[in-house]
Amino acid sequence: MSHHLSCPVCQSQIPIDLRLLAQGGSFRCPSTACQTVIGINRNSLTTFSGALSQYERLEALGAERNNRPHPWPVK
Amino acid sequence: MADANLVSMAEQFTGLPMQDLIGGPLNAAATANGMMAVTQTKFLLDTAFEVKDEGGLEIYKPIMITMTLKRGVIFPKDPEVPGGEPEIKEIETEIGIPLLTILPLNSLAVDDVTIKFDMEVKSSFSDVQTAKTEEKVSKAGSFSAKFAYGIFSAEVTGSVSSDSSTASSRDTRTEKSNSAQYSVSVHAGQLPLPEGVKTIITAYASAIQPIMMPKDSKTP
Repeated sequence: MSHHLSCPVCQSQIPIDLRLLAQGGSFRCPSTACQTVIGINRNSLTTFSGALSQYERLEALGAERNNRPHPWPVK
Repeated sequence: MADANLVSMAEQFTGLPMQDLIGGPLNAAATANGMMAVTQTKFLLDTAFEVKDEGGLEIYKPIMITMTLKRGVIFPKDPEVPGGEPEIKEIETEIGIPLLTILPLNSLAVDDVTIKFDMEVKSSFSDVQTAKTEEKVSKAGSFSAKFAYGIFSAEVTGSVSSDSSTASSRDTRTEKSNSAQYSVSVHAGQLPLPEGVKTIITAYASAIQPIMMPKDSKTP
């Protein structure tokens, strides 16, 4: 699940994978002049991974709704 | 030129519930989007905020998560020596950001609806004309005559026959076909984030920017 986060130092968009981030992964700012690395602190991993799991459940629910065939309202 | 034997294509498409055919799925998608928006709002309020009761008022406070930020900072190797050789040290900083800013908001929406409605009306007309004429004429005739005069007698016999046959055939085949196809494609794109949500996120994002500590302030 790709996402972007604004770099707190140079405001560049850091591409992040939310699942990897929830597993404790860290991501580097693409700006060569910055090279800041961001990650989630261990203390917040549980909070974030819990929220992400709930989000994924919501996403799955949305996908299920969108894929449901619609009966054609032909008169 | 229109053939009276073929069905009219325009006539076939007349009376079709096009409004329902196109609008129905779009309405369903919009309803699903609306339901998803409500669910997302509930999800955000439940997940990204904590409710605190302050003087009888329910106050929603954003849940903060701590992020670590590592960056290289240039320091002089020896601070006592002005203009000395620098070195890069990796400094780890902890910053608190609202959980709301890291969750992909508004991405759960129907972003592509394609309605493909193909109607094929096939009309075919075939005309076969066969004409066959046959005539057969057969004629036959015979005659016999006898004459007698005194001691003389004569007999004449004869026969005539005629046979004639005429046949003619004409086969005419005409085939005509007519078909039409009607296709409708509707695309519904994703709406951008509402300005209000953008403002909240921008405010949160700007709040996490590092602030320079004044030189004369003491380290806490």
